[in-house]
Amino acid sequence: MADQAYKVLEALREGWDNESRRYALSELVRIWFEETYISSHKAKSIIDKYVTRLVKEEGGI
Amino acid sequence: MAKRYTRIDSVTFEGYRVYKDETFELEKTREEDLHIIVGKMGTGKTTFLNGISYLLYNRELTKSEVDGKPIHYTGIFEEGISRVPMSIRMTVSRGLNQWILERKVWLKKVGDSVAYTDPKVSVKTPDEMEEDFTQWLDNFIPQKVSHFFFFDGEALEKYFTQDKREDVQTTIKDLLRYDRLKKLYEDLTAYINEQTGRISIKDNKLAQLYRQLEDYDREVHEHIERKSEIRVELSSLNKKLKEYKEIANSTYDLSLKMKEKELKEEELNQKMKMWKEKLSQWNIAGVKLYILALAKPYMKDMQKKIEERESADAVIPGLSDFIRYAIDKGRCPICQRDLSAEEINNLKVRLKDIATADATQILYGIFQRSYGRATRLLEDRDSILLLGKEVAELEEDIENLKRQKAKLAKDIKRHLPEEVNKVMKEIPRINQQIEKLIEEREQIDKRINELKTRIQRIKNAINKNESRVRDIDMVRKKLTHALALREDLEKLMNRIMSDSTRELSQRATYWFRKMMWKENAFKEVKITDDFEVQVLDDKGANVIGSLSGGENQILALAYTLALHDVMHLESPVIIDRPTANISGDSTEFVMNVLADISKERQIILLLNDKDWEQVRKYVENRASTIWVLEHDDATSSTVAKKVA
Repeated sequence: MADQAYKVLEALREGWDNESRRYALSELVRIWFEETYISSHKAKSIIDKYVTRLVKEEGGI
Repeated sequence: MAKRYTRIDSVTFEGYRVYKDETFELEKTREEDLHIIVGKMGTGKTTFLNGISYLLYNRELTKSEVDGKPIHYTGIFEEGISRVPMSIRMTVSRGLNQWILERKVWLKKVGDSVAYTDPKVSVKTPDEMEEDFTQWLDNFIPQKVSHFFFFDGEALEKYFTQDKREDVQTTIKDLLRYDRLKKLYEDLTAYINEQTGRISIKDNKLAQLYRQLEDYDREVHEHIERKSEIRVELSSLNKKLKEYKEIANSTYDLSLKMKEKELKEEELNQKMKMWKEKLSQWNIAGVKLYILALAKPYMKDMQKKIEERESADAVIPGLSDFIRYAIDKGRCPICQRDLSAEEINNLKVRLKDIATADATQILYGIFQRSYGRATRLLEDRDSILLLGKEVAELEEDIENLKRQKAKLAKDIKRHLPEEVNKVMKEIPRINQQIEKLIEEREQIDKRINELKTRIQRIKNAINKNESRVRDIDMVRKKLTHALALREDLEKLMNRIMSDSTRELSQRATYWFRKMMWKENAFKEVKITDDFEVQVLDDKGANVIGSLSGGENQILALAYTLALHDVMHLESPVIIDRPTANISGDSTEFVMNVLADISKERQIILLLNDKDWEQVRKYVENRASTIWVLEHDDATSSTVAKKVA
């Protein structure tokens, strides 16, 4: 029952135009499904990591 | 290869309701993991379901507890024993992993009533390794979705009522772990808010710094302008002060000069007085000198005359006449001074005395003394002459002084007293103003210095902040991506829900048509986006309202199985009387479907004897185990017999 992320990730597999963002989102979804408890501090840090990566991929830095 | 799923290996009820001590070993002996428990009413068929619910969730499905406590087996206290356990134990496995779950309550007989200890629940591996029960259960069948696994076939219709629709929606969201997505959505929103805040804080900070700098610059400018005003004011005041001081000084000088003149005049007058007195004395001395001059020729003879006792008159001829003249005229014959009555009387007495020899003696004495004085006076003769000359000069000086004084008085009069008064009053006021202005100027200088320090500090801060502009750009970029991610997530969440309802519709249609004998009568089961269940006929009309009780039960079962499919649920399913209202060919279809499903998951069916009679032929050869519950009159308990 903990593997419902499967469905979400399945939905993410297609129809998402931005590949980098799709990857970032699927990673976030995966983490949010895997972790039982994510503190707001940790959430911020993880989100920031993926968002920063997106900026880097875009050539923002 | 058979699909791996979680299954119940065995269930043991000890001292629970009708079960004294019964164990159901549910081993899989066929391809189908199907288990059937048959029992007449009151033999403990539903108790099986309640017991598992009590074990897992500490509550019985049919809520028949007394005071919140499960009913124990009536014959639990054997003679002589007052403390016994009531427990339900279940062995669950997945592949090679196995867990033993137990809920145990100790019962104590107190008089006619029974005292319960708090239930103790545990989940252990066979090697006694304990796990967290709630967490374990969360991965098995959480309570919030338990009604999709343990249910009463007759009560399945409740899923279609309006008030239950939201429950289903919530449950589906729960099953999809929608809460996780929602949490991610919320966390993303919090992140976005924070980043937005950072940008606005930075922007605001910079703007605030610039505003402050502008304010300080303006203030400095105002102060400098004021300083220049002060300079002009000070210069004008100083000029005025100078003028006033000049006026005051000139008046003062004149007064001073006048004072000097007055003092000088006084001094001269004093001197004059003194000199006149001296001159007067000298005049008197001059008279005496005259007398002496008169007496001198007689001085030689006088000694002789005295010896001869001659009268003074004889010594100084004319003396008596001289005195007589003074008495008669009442005036000094030499200085022409008027004589007082007393002096005249004295002279009268003297006149008598002159006639005597004694008087000559006295006169001689006088002459002698006077002679000495007169000699000294004669020696001062030049001084007297000089003094006279000086007095004349002094008189001239005094005259000059008086003239000067008159001129000065005229000058002083030229300056009006009002103007002088005004000037004298104005001077301290102007001084005060000047002091005030100087103090203000000092304060301004102090403030300007302070502002300059602040301006420098702000400029530094601005430089620092401006160097962070790149940082802000980064935050802005992050924000853009975070917003896009959140939008994607929202799209995803909507899509999942809409996919779920679409898939749910497809699966429900599949199961419904598979279990319905009137296979062609209904085209489609449709679950709308707000989870309304519709049954559409071939014309697309919703005919759910005209379904029979059996059809409704099949629909509910189809819906439940569809939910399992969509959610990829694989936990054991226990159904109490799945065919209660179903008759005819549908019974076969339903049982076949359940038997087919049991190839991929464990299905436990609880049937009464009539149900069993109806379905036996379809599933007897497909069930792994079949149990019959029988009431044992001797012990008033149920005995479970495995018949297959």
